[in-house]
Amino acid sequence: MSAHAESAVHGHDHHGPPTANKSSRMDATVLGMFLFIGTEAMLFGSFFAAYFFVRVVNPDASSIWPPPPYEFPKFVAGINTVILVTSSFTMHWALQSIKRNNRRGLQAGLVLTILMGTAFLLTQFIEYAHVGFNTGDGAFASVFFGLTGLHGAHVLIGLTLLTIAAVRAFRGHFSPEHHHGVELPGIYWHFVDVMWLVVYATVYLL
Amino acid sequence: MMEGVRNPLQDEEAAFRFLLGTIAYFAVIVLASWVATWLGLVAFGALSLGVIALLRGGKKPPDPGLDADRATVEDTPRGDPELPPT
Repeated sequence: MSAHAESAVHGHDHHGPPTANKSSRMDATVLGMFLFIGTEAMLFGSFFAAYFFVRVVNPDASSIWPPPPYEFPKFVAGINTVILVTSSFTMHWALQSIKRNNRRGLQAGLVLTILMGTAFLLTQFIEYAHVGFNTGDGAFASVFFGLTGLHGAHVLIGLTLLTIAAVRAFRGHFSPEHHHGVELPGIYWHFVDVMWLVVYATVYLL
Repeated sequence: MMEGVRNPLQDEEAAFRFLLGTIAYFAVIVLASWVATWLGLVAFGALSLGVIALLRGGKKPPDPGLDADRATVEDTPRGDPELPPT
């Protein structure tokens, strides 16, 4: 039997490679975001491991941290934390708005989130300029800039994703049924905020 | 239904709740640490156990449905179709 005849018997008119298999449990884009966030968590975990090692081997760490004569700008970082956490609220508001077909709310929420994220990054740059030490001032300084800089890079990525979502929102994309392009940056933005809370609590406060 | 691990980043709402939970988690640990270091450690241990218990309280997702059309042997022709069968 020829291939064509066999194909007709089995009812296969499809040419080319078979359709890619898909998980029936999870959407591919959502799975991709989970895997991405998983790798991010491991990346931050390695930086935290370095931070805790530096802290544990420092003989004065139990009484004074950071090691003298350095000091952390806790107040400025606290204000920055409030800004970033508030941006998560506006992000949540943006997504809830489009679910209720409130396009203005979506646009305003995304713009506010971007503005607050940008304010966070600018404040962090100013903090770097006034912190009083630099990357070459020992392991403590290296780890500090490594951790906070790594997080800052993630804020920048989040801002890029949010800007794309905002441009699409102003072009009329998204609806109460189709808002995946806002939901995924939203998940990422909340994750970045969670990571900052871990950084702020462990590096600045504890 | 069997228990599974709850995904804290399942969707945006879940991620937002996860953020709020993280705020509460660290607020308690930091406050307890300021009172006394040992109290901070106790708070960390107790809260971490609570978080693990909470995350394990999710429902196991349903088993994936089997696509019978795609599962048949005839669906995947092997080798060169022009060659006679061996």
